Amino acid sequence: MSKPGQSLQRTRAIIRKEFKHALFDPGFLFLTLFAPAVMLMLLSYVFSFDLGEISLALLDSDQSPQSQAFIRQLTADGDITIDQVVGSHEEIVELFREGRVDAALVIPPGFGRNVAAQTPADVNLVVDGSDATGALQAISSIQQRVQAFSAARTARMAAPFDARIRVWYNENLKSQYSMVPGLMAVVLILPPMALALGIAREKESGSLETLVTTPVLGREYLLGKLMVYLLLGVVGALVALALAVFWFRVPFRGSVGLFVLLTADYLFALMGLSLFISNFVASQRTVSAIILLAFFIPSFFLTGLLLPIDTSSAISQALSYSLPATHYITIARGLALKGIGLAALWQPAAALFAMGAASTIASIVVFKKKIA
Amino acid sequence: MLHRLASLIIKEIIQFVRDPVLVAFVLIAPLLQIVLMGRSVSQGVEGMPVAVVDYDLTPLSREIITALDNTDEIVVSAFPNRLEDAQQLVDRGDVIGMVVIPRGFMQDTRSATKVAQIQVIIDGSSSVIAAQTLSAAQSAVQSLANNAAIAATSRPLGGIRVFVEALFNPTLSLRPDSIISEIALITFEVTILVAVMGIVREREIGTLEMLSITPLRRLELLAGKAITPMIVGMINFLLMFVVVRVVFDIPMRGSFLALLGLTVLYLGAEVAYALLISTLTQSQQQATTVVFVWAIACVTLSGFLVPITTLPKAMQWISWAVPLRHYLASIRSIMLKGTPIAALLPQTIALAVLGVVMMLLTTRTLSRVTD
Repeated sequence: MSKPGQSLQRTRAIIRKEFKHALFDPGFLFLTLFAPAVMLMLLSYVFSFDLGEISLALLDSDQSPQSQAFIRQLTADGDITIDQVVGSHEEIVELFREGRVDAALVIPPGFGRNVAAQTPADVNLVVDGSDATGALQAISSIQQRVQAFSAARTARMAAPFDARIRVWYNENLKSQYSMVPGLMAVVLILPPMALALGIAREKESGSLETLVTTPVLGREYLLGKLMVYLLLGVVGALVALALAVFWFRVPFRGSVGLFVLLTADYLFALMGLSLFISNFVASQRTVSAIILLAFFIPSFFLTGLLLPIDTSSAISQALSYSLPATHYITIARGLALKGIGLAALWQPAAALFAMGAASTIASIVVFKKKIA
Repeated sequence: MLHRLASLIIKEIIQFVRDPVLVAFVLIAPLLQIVLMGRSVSQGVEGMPVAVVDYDLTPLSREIITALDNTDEIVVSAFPNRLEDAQQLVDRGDVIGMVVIPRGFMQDTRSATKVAQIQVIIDGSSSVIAAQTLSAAQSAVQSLANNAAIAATSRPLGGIRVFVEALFNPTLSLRPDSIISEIALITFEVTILVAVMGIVREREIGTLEMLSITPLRRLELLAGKAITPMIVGMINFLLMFVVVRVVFDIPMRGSFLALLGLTVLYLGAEVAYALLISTLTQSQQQATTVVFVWAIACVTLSGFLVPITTLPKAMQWISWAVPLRHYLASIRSIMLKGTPIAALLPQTIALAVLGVVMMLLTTRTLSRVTD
């Protein structure tokens, strides 16, 4: 009935209309093009300070010159401070309850004697497990200093072998280098949300009904919209990348062309799913609630952004890999830090493409049925 | 006045219930999400796959591999024959690192002139995982080497041993903290999204003008707009709280009443912020986008991503204006540590002050917008 030439023309008309909408709404244009970069900046900034101070309570039952020397060494560089001196274990629990200290060091009687005699001397480190991440950090930073203290005081004995540790891609383990590319996945949820809101707005205002009476087909309408938002999203991503590289000095070792391609791939997956969701939802507030709950919140818990992906059960893995952000975080870190190419990234890329294609086709089918 | 307020609240609830997709979604989705996500959130850095390239193939090299594999953090998952294959595994992300044991390693340990050394290479692209895997590998190799040294001299080594005791969470699992953060974040998202549409929706469909000519006063209008999201938030919170206690066995060591009171204050403060955004924006699309930015700002400054003490002083001050910061600190302390409400007075006051100040600010803004 309709020739491909005409269909193309109609799709182009939709694209023109969408661009005009975007250009006439500077607030909206700003939010899709620059908001990802602004948000990335905010998020990345807090990751530029790797070490926090550790506030320590001290229970020194030894009170020997050795225990005092030990404490001096621990607190020498100022990262660890003794904020409370206590006399009993109960006081430590109380201080933890009130959140006044991060950890407590308990030096038992006889510590100084053992150190002087060069026999093993024990100390107890009590940490507040309610903040497990902070506790783990406190443990490792205190252990490092204890090791330095021990090494200076024990007879040097040659260990028969040791391990030479090298870190690839991020030599100094700067958390910023690994977080900035990962957080790209979070801030790029904004353009797909704008797309879903745009469709919901046309439903709410009734202009979608008007559109149905025109010769424009469902797929032309959806694809036209998708292309415009995809393009805006990619430009927004490039602005964010420029900020990451030139402002935060995060390395980018891969190809920019591949970054554009795979970012479009990620946006395609998110936007396809957003189109599919908007088919069933009539109001802007519902669609935004769904997108925030389905994409935004899980990206902090299930995608490998902060914590490793839980591999202990098949359900957890299926859940993690069904989120587009999981795949994009692998891609973004691979491109920025590892500098790898499509040969190593084809799996996440293909997964994203499959999600995008399947959900776009599904939304075209559902859309047609609804209108008919 | 109470009569006017009551009729507005009834109108709000009717409008809300009329959208069954929304009702189902905001009541069921958070529950579904906490069940699925709570189960799948990781306990910590455990079982990270590592490749070993063993050129030595001696009892000692095997002993090292076993020692690495025996740590909680590391699982030796692949034995590639060539260095390039191992490198490819790291590049593709199939393993988090590789260990290379050179040829003649065991022999070198007996030689006086040569240094016997294995190489551990860790993928640093995810810094948290890398740091913990790295220190696990290092301490496994070190303790093996120390034992060998002690065996050689048959004399215990001096030095200081640190015994770690973790209160409230003996295994230092990351799960309790993550699940509690999830409750706070999900309640936050749902409440703020329902609330932010309050004013801007009326404006978009043109009914705000109509409301402004009714005898309804501005503060009443805002109070009416605040009730529905607060009810929704409270129901969400209670449902998720039950799930977390029953399904995931997260402890509740403090007073439930104190937690409930703080939750009301928290929801009030969040709703006040949302209504301010609602009066300042022109369309629902704009409002949602601003909410998204606000959500990211809150996540950033709440102590959820990084501890607040690591932030520069200026940002620490700004974070006082973020309700999520006070609520996260409170809910964690009450549930995991049983902190009494007296110790949470600063958080309680902060939440109350934020709610009142934002509500007053919103009233003033609204009068400027409607006049």
